[in-house]
Amino acid sequence: MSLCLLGCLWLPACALARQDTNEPLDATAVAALQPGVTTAREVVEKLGAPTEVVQLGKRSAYRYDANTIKSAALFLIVFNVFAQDGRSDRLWVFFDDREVLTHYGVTFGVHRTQYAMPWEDVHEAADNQAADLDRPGVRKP
Amino acid sequence: MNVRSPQLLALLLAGTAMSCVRITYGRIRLEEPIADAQLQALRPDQATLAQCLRELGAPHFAWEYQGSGMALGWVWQDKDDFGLDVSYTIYKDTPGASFSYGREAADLPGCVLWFDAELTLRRWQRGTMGDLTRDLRQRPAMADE
Repeated sequence: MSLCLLGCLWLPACALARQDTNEPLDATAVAALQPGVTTAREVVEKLGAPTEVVQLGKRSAYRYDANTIKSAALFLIVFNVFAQDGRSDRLWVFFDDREVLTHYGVTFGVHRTQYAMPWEDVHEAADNQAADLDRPGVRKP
Repeated sequence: MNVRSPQLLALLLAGTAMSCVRITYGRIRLEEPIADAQLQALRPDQATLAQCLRELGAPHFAWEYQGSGMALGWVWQDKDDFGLDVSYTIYKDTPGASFSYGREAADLPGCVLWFDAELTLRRWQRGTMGDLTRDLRQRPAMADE
């Protein structure tokens, strides 16, 4: 019994955790946005309620986002390592004073989030490209 | 538990003590940093808002700037910590991936781009968000105000 307890004390342990906020953005719906044509009402109908609305002089802008954080830890009793990688999908849509879309900027990042140790590079281009292949519509033409 | 061996008891106590005083290395990476080359490619007085959004993607923040202009901010984080009780220090003052502009974002590295009323890039700057946005309104007015 004592030996078993002692063994457990020294056993290394791993832990993984994931935290998601909001649904990832729909890349197909975002690609359908047309500056000069799409209205604020149509954006809300397609994408739902924005996370934030800001007034920029006579213009306005809506923010949509989703976040994922992946955490990995290795517990070796005396020496522990821990790493966290967080990315977001973000969309800003900008409207003129008639509430017609003039510009939009989008970033798709949640699918690139990785469980990784601190010494690993989580921003390698090859990893990002591989992740992009599994998510339709996010690759730049 | 009946521990008869003093050596075993000492070993158990030592193991327990070590689990209280531990060395931890932690690293937090949030978002992908914007490279210098990406910013250098954006020429003030020439680059348009559309070009900047295409190059940098969506910002984290947008502020009103000089009435009809706007300022856009991007932030990221790559922070590591090595210490005796990093489970305390690494979490302390660490924002989640969902950035909301406040004290926690003020210490993060990032960049801000300022656009005039014609939505032409006037300038860009890297630094900590607190320094970059000192002159900007922290909370733009709501659209219906």
